Amino acid sequence: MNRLYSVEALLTQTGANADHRLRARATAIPAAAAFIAKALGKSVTVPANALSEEQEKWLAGAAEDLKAHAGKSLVVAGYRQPESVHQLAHIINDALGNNGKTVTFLKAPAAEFGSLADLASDLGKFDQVVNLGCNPVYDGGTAVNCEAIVAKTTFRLIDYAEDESHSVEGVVNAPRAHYLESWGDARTDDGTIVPVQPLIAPLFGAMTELEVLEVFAAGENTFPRTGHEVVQSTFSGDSWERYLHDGFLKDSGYEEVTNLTIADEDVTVSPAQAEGLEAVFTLDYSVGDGCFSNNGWCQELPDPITKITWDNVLSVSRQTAESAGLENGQLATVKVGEAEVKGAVWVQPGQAEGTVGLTLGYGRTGKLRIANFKYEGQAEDVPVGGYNAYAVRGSNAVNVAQNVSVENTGETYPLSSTQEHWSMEGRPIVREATLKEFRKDADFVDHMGLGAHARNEGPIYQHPYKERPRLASDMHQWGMSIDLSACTGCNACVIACQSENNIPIVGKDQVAKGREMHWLRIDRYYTGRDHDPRASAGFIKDEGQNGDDEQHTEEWIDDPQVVNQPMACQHCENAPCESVCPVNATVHDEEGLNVMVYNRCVGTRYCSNNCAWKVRRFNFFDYNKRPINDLYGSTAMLKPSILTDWLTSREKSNRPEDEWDLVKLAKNPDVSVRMRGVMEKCTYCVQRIESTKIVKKAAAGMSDDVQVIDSDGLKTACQQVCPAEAISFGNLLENGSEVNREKANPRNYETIDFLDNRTRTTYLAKLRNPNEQMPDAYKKPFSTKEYKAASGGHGDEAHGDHEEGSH
Amino acid sequence: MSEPAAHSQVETSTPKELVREPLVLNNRPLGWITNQVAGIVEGEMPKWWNIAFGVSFLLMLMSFGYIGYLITTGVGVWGLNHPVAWGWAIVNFVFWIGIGHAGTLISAILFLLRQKWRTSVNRTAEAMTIFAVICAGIFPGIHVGRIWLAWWLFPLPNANEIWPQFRSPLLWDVFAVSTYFTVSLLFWYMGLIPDLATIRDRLRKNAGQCKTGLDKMINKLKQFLYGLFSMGWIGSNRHWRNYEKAYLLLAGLSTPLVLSVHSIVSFDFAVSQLPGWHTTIFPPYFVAGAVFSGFGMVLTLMIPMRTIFNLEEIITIRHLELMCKVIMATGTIVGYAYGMEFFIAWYGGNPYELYAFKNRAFGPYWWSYWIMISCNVISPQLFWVKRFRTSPWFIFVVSIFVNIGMWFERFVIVVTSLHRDYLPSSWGYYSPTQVDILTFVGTFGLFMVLFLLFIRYLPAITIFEVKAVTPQADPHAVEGGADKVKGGEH
Repeated sequence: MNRLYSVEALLTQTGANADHRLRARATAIPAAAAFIAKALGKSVTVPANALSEEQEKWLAGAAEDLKAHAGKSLVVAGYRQPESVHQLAHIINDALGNNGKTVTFLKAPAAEFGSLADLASDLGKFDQVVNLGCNPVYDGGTAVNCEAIVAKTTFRLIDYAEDESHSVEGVVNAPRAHYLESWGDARTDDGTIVPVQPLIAPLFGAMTELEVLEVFAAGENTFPRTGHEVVQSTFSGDSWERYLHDGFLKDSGYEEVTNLTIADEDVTVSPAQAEGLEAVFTLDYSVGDGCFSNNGWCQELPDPITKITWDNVLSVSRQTAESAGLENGQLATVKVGEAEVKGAVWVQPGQAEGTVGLTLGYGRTGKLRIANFKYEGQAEDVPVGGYNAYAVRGSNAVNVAQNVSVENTGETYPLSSTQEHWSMEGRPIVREATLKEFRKDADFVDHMGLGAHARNEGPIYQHPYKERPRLASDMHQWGMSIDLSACTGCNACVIACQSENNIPIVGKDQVAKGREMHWLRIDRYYTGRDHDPRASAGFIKDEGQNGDDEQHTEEWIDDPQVVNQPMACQHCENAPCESVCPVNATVHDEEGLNVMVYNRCVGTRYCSNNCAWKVRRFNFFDYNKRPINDLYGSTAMLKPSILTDWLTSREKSNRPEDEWDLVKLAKNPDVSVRMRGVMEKCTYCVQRIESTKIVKKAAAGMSDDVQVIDSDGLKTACQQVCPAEAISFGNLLENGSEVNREKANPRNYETIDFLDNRTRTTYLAKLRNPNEQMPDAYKKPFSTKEYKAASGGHGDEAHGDHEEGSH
Repeated sequence: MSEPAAHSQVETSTPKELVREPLVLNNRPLGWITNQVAGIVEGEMPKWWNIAFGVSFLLMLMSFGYIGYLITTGVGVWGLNHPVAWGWAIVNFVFWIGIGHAGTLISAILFLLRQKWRTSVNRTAEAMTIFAVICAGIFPGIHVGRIWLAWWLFPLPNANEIWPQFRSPLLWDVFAVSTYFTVSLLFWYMGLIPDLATIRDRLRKNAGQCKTGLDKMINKLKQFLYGLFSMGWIGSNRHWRNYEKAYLLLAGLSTPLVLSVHSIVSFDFAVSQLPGWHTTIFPPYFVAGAVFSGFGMVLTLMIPMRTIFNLEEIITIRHLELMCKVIMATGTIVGYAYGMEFFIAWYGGNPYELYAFKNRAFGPYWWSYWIMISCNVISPQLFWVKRFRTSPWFIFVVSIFVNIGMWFERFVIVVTSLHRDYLPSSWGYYSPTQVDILTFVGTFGLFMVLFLLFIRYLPAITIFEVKAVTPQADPHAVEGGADKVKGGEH
C-alpha cells in the first residue's frame, strides 16, 4: 500500500488524504524541500530559522522513508510552489533514482505568449485589442491597469452577458460558445492531440475562438469556414475518420526527455518569512479562477474541505485567528501592500499558522445572474458572492504574498455551509484502521459499533423478502459498495448526480436553512489526536445560539485527520422510511430498490424524520419552476389572471418566458422533474437500470439471456465519474460481479448496522498507512481512538482490540 | 353541607365522619341555578365580550391568511429544513390534541367513577375539548407538502386500488383523531339536549316580555333553533331513561378513547427509529401529559369565567382545588417520565440514545428543556401547599405555566430529537419563521372565537346535572341525606 506525505500551508484535498501531513507556512516550503534534498546528500543550503525543530524531525523522518523506497517513490511540487521547489523536487527524485522509473519528462513547447503586463506596457503601440473571452478587469490583478487595455478593445468574445470588462462603449461583443458547442481540438497533458466534438448546436448563435480567428484569417471578401471545416482541413483522406474513431491522434504526444539534470548550486532557496502573516492564493475547487462562477451547480457545490457554498472565505488557523483577533464568520480586511479586500473569516482546521488562504473566483461585480445572486428579502448592504481575491493579487506574488495584514471589521457575514458539525463524535460511521492493524485483524470493522454487541437473536420483524419470497426478483438485486480508502472527496459524483437526476439548485439562503437538494453528498469529518468527543460534543459552553458556534475554538482541530464519506440513500431492505409513509409513496420494488413514487407523495416528511442517514430531500418550494430569487413571493399566485395563466401554460409559473426553453434543455428527459411538496432521493439511477434492461431484452431475442451483468456496462452516474473508482454498483445475483467482490472484502460494513435496516449500500473501511518512525506516528487512526474514548467504560484500549469471537 | 342540628341525636350509632364541602355553596335553591346559568345565554353580553370576540376573530383571520400563503407558496415559508422536517406544526398539533383531553376525561371517566364534582365543569371542558381538537386538526392537514392531496390519507375506494399504508402511525392518527372528535362531539351534544330544552322553554315564557317586533322575531327564531336542537325534549320519564342509558354508553365508549388518542399520537414518535422518539414509555407518558395540559387549560378558562359570570357558588374553590390535585398528580407522572427517559438512555447503553438526551438538556436547545422542566415538573409541586391550590389567582398563573410547559415538552420531543440524530454530518438548527409563529398564535384566535360563541349561545354549565348534586335534589335531604355513610351527595 502506498504512503502519502504532504507538506502544505492550507488544508487541501491532497493533505486531507495524506498519511502524514506537516503544516508549514507557504514560504517555509522551499526550506522544507531543501531540507529533504540535503538529508539525501545534496549540497543545497537550507535557509536558517525557516523550520522549527519539530518540523525538521518530521522532514528527517520522511527523508528516511524516501531513502528506504528509492526508485519506488515520487516527490511532486504543487502548482503554487516557486521555481526553486520544482527544481528541488527534481533533484530529490534524481537523488532517489526515481527519474525514468516513477518520473518521465516530456518536452513541452515553450509558451510563446506575452503576459498581461507586457500588453499593458506596449499599450501605446497599437490601437486595437481583440479579446477572446478574457476578463482582465476582473482577474487581471493589481499590477496592471486593465481598464486601459479594455478601453482599446474593439472586439470581444464574452462568456456571460455583462461581466466586469463589459462596460466599454463601441466594442463589438459576441457571445462565446462553450467548447462542447463546436468543433475544435486540444492536447492532453502528455501532448496527444484529441478532437473536440460538439454535443449540441450552439445556443444563441455563439462562436468559438477558433471560428472568430477564422473570420479574421479569412479576410474581408471570403466566406469563413465553419469550425468543423477548419478542424477537418488539417487532415487528409481517411485519417480524419480514424482520428474521430480513435478519439486521439496517434503518436502526437510530446517527445520524452532523458538525462535532465539540475545542478545543486543552481537552486536558490529564498528565506521564509519569519513573522507576520502571509497570503496564499488558490483556485476554487468548484468555480476555478472565476470562469465557472456563473454556473449554479458550481456555486452550490460545497467546497470539499470547508463545505461552504456560494462564497469564498479568508481561511486562517485557530491560533492565528485568536492572535489576530479574528472571529469566525466576521468580515475582515486583508491588506497586501496598498491593495485591500474585505472577506469573511473562516477558522480552518489543519491550516498552518500565520497563513491566510484566499480563494480566487468570487467577488464578481458584473451583471451576472448566478454569481451575484441576491436572495429574496436580502438587505442591500449585505454583500454576496464572496470577495475578489484578485484585488490584492499582484503580478509578482501570484501564489504567495508576504507582509499581509488582516483586520477585523466587526461586521458579520452570512456563510452557508452544508455541514455544520465537524466531529464524528466518536461514532463508528467512517471506520478506519492502519494497515498494520488490518493485517493483524482483517475483520476489524465487525468489532466496532453497536452491531458488534448485538446478541443477534434475529430481527423482531421478519425480513420482507424472507416473509414473502415471491416479492423478490431472482434476476436482479441491486447493490452498491463505496471504498472509503479510494474516495478522495473530490465532489465529481455530487455534480454527476445533480446533472443526471435533474436536481435543482436552491440558492444561498436556502442552503443556509439546510434545504440543499443534493441526493448525494460527501460528509467530511475532522478527527483529532487525543480528542475525546465527550468533552465537546456540540454542547453549549459559553454563550452562542448554536453549539457548533464554538467548535472552531477547540484545540484538537489544529492537526486533524480528515475522513470523507459519500452519503446517499442506502436502499435499506428493511427501509424505515417505507413503514411510516401513510400513503405508500415510498415502497420497495422487487429488485431491492427503495423507490419514491413522486406522484403519490403528499409530503408528510415522516420518511425523512425516520431516515437515520438523512438523505431524503424535500421540495420546500417549487425549486424547479420558480426562479431561485422568487421562491417566497405568493403575489404571482394571487394575481387575478392566475386561473387563465394556469389554463394556458400551467408549467410556466412566474419564470420569464425565454428561460423556459433553456430550463427544459438542461433537464435529463429520462428523469421526472419534481414539484414542490414532494420528497426525493437517490434512486440508484433507476432510469439507467431500466434502459440497460431494455437494451438487454431487445438484444436477447428469443433467448433468455436477459440478466443484466457487469459487462452490460450499467453504471450509476456517480460511479461513472468517480476518478478513483471508489464506487461499485451492480447485480448482487451475478456471481463474481464487481459489487459482490467488493462486498466480500473484509473491510465491508454497514453504517449504523445495529438498526438492522439492512442497507444495500455498504462501505469499505478506510486504511491508513502511517510510518512508525515518524514523530507524528499513530497506532490507530484518530477516528478509532475517538470511538474508543466515546465508548469508554469498556476499558479504552482493550475495546475492539480483543480477539475475534469474544462478542 | 352543615348537618341539621335536629337530627344529630339520631346519628349516635353511626361512626363520625368528616363532612365534605358542598358542591353548590350557600344552599341555593334549584331555580337559582337555572337562572344563574341560563341567564348568561339570555342576557346581553357585556362589552368585553364584543371586544374579545373582535380581537379573537382578527387573530383567526390572520391565521387563515398565513395558511393561504403557505398553500400558495410552499412549506418552505416555515422554518423547516433537513434534518428537522417536522417543526411547529406538529408541536402545535400535539399541544392542542393534548388540551383536548381534559374534557372527555372529566365527562366520561369521572362520570364512570361517580365523581360528582365534575358536573359544574364538564360542559365547558367538553366544549374546550372539541374546539382544541378543531385547532389541532388544522395542523396535520396543512403541514403536508401537497395539501390538495391530503385526502389520500383517507381510505377511499378508488379505481387504482391504492390504499393508504396501514402500518403508518400517521394513518392511525387520522382514525384516532377523527373518532375522538366524533365521539366527543356526540357526547357533548347529547349532554346539551336537556339544557337546550330548558332554554327553549324559558324563551317561550319570556316571549311576552318582548317589546319590539324585532325582539319578537329574534325570540321566535331562537325558540325554533333551540327547539330544533333539543330534539323535542320534554323531560318525560322515558326521555330521561333513554338519556341516562345513552349517556352511560357514550361515557363507556369515550373512556378508552381518552387513553387511545394520545397513545396513538405518541406512536408517531415511538414507532420511529429516531433516538429520543423511539421510546416505549411514550403512550402512558403522553396520556398523563395530555391530562395535565387539559386540566391546565380548563383552569385557565374557568377561573376568569366563574368570576365574570358570578358562578363562584357553582364552580367553587373546592372544584379548583380538586383540579389542582389532578394537575399535581399528572405533573408528577410526567416528571417521573422525564427522569425515566434519562435513566433508560443511560442504562440502555446505546450511545445515540444517551447523546439525544444529553443534547436535550445541554445542547443548543437547552433553554426549551429547562423551560419544560420548570413549568411541568416544578410549578405543579407548589400545589402541595393548600393555600396555593385554593387561591384562584395563583392557580391561574400556574395553569398558564402548565400550558407553556406542555407546549415546550412537545417542542423538545419533536425538534431536539430531530436536529441531531445519527450522523453528525446532517446535524442542524431549526428556527421558526414569522409564519410559523403567527399561524399558531392565530389558532388561539380560532379557539377563543369558538369558545366565546359557546359562552354566548349555550349554557356553559350543565344545569340539570348540577341540580342533581345539590342536597335539595335528594328526596331524603330533609332527613340528612339518603346514605350518609357512603357519602350521599358526593
